[in-house]
Amino acid sequence: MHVQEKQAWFVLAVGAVTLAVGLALLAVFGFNPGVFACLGIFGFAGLAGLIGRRQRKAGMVIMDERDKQIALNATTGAYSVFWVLFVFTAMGPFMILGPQATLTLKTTTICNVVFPAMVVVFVVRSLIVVVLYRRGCRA
Amino acid sequence: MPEKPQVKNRIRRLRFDHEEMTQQELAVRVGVTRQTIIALESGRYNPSLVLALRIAKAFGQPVENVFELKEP
Repeated sequence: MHVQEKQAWFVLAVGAVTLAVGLALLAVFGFNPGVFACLGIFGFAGLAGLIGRRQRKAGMVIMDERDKQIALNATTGAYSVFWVLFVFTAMGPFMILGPQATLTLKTTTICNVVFPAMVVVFVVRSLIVVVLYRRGCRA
Repeated sequence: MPEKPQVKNRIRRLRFDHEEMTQQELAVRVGVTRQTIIALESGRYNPSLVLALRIAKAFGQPVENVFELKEP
């Protein structure tokens, strides 16, 4: 398995653990802004960068043109999904409440929207990486 | 929707003709990972012009002897 694919699987595994813990907290405490603290677990996804360190030190090629193509396609796909969600989130209140409505938000709400959005980007990117390695990537 | 043209290659044949060169040896010679050689041989990836030229050079062949464009 390629290094980038291993990294993608690692991010997906961390994402799954984050989701499981989040759902468990939700079941115990109900809908509470504190439940979003489980997103901190997703920080462990950053450790994916350590995968392939040994090969890199040994001077092996771990990222060639095909891997770069896959990374580019996956990132583009992930940000496309993010963009759709972003537009729906931004336009939702406008469409439901109308143009004259005033909305009061808690500061934590902004964090609770932005962090899951980034989790979506990383998870979708990893999913696309895994799919492209399985299916092949014709440049 | 029109079908995409396919690039066929003779990498596997040429590897065996060159003292059964392994995929890893070819990968090191052309500067890619072994997985990319596997993807090329199975037709799951079309190489860039630079990589195609490097592979042809590794076998001491002109590029058209290694890669062939199949129009649908």
